[in-house]
Amino acid sequence: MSDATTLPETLDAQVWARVQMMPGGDVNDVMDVALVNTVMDRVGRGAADLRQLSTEQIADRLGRLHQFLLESPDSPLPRMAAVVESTTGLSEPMVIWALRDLLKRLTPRALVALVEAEFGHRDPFHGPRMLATHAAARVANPPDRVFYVMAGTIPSVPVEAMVLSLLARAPAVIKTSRAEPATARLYLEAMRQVAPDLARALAVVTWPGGTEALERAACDRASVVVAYGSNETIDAMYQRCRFPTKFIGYGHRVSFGLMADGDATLGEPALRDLARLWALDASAYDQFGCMSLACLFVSTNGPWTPEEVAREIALEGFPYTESSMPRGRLSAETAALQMQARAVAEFSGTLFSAPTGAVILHDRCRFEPTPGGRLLHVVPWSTPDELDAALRPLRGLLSTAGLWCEDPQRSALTSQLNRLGVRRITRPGRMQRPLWLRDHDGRPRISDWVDWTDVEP
Amino acid sequence: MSRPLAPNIMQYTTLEQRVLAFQRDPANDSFDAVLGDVVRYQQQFNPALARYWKGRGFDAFRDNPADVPAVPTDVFRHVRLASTEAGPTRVFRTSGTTSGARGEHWRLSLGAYVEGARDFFADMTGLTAGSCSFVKLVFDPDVVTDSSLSFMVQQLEQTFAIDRSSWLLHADGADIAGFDAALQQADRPVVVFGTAFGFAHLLDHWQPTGRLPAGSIVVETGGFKGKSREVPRDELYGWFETALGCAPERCLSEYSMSELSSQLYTRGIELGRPTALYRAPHWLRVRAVDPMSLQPLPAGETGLLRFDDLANTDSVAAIQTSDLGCVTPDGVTLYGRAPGATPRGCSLAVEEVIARRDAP
Repeated sequence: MSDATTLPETLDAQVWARVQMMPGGDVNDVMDVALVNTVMDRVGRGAADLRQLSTEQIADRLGRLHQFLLESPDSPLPRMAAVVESTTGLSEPMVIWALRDLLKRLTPRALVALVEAEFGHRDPFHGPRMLATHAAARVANPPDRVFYVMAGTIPSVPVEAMVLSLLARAPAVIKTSRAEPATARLYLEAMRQVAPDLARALAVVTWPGGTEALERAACDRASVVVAYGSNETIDAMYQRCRFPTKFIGYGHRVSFGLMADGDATLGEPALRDLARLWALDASAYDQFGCMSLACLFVSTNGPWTPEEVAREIALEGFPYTESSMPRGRLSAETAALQMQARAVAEFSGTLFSAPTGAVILHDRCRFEPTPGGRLLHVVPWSTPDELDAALRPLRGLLSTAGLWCEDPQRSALTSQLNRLGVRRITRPGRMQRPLWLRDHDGRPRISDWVDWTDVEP
Repeated sequence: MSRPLAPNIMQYTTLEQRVLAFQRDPANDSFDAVLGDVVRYQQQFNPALARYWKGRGFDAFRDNPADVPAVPTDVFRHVRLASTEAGPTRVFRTSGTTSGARGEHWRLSLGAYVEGARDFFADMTGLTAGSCSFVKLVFDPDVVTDSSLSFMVQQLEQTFAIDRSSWLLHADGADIAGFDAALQQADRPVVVFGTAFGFAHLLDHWQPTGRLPAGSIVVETGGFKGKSREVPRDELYGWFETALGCAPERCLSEYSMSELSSQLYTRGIELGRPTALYRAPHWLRVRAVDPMSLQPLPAGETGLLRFDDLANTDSVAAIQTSDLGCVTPDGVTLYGRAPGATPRGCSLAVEEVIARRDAP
């Protein structure tokens, strides 16, 4: 698959080659404001075809693309994984797992269902529709352009971004992190081959984050800006937008697990299974995701003591996940933070160590942060008030709670977590595998982007 | 002092004499031989340390002392690592961090610390006893009694200065009038010893009124620690020359920490170099280690810096830092705290969570 065969007719080939720089080359520092505008124009023109398509047609094309990526011997997935490993430090099997897990869930049926869930109709952009939730008939207007700013570590996020843009009929420019420019480009390259009419509405660019002139130019031309990253990055991007551009920021978050009292008759096999699930939640993306399990609160009235849970995760859970999802290369910063935390725990005799992971057992109920890289804290809790005191300082920063509990407790705990501002509650083993048909970070995925025309009777 | 000694264990006073002798003249002994005595003493008299080493499979009576597991600096914030041979005479504490807890370095005796600090300062500056005056942009050790930096500067002044001067750094910044007066009165070579925080305050608020007498030196230490704006190193050293009249080759940078008893210095600053080259005394072995395995790296490779400090005679000889650097026969290059070499992802950084969690 060469760029030459898929070059858009309307853009000078040399310029396009610079914009669509392929992974493996030096990252694109040649962007200038004129080029940003050219790219914005180009994807805008590509939207004409996109908007003629029904949601089912888009979903079918994406389904074929995902089938190609998952099943074809020519699939670029292995190449993607190798490149992403070299840029992010995540292991190849981890990258493959992440991408396959997402692509398998992005079936045509799931994509159509997402549009129905977000907009109340599978084709909200074509003709006024009577929606169950609304008194007047409505028709949606897609955004002119979406400008996405990616953070870089979770390789599946740019894929999600492109799929969502297409479902919203929004031409999109994806600005990748310089540290991970590959996934978005390789996915788009595959799309050009399988679904070129969709690919024309998308572009991938890269420049050093914080380059104000380029970012301001992109924001000026976009009607929706979606930014991932630290609070500083989000705030900087927010400052670049002018009304009426819609701005959606996804900042950094933390996630935790919660084991309630549970069934006292449960035995070791159940603990082993549970330990594997918690280990998966702490291992996916090497614990650098906002939905990664950082700290596990274990009830002191449960079937297992916090120490038993900590030991089982270290001795059974982490080795189990390591076999299929090896830990990647840690940065010096992460390794140094881990070294310090592990040593402190070693002195107090509360470290349960695995070859590529560790669990630190605490005796005080409070949220303990992790530097990532599979270092999990296990913390005891005994009363809702204690839990509340531990989590309340992090209100507004809490993403996902993995909840293990019996039905009688579920309602009370769910209400408590809701009051604490937790955005998502799920079961062990699912923390980093969110349902596709759900909000992201407590907000709709795409319905915020569109404007509506109401047609009153 | 009545605790029975295991074979080959020196009591502290004897051990300190051996370390002092090695500090004075390394020709008749070897670093690892002295380190062996030090770690055997520490295994005997520091039970928490002994348990840590045992957990790591290290026995000071059996194994090569060069392989002693180093203690990461954060441990000092949580565990009291002191000799049980006698009551401690002094505790030095780290400055506050976002996590609140301060590291504590408990000491029985400071003989090797003081003598080492004086000898190496003389080596690095060429100063002799009673040959200069000090201007100290450092906290008063009678006010901040647990500052190892203030203690050390006090010792240096007592040795090298002909008179005693005021302490010109306070919680709200440098004493501008006091600094100005000290410079106006200087009639012999001056050692201006200050923290980067103190110098940054001067740079912003002091109008230079004169130049240092010939033969003066400036020693900068301590980093900024979030207390003021950060001043680029070249800007600060340029200011030493333009405002104080101290040429770059007479400006030194000192590096140490509360958990160490020895110091590293640059021998004058080399402007234009991206990083400074620090020298360590012969009783302080510096190694860069692999961040994951903590095994020593070949010379010139960048890793986390580990210090084996014989002057930590009664506390913890081997200290593992989170500072990145590389070590060559020429010296030590410091790169500061290990930065995020790869993107951190969308999980909150540890510091942010702790700051939020521990906010009042």
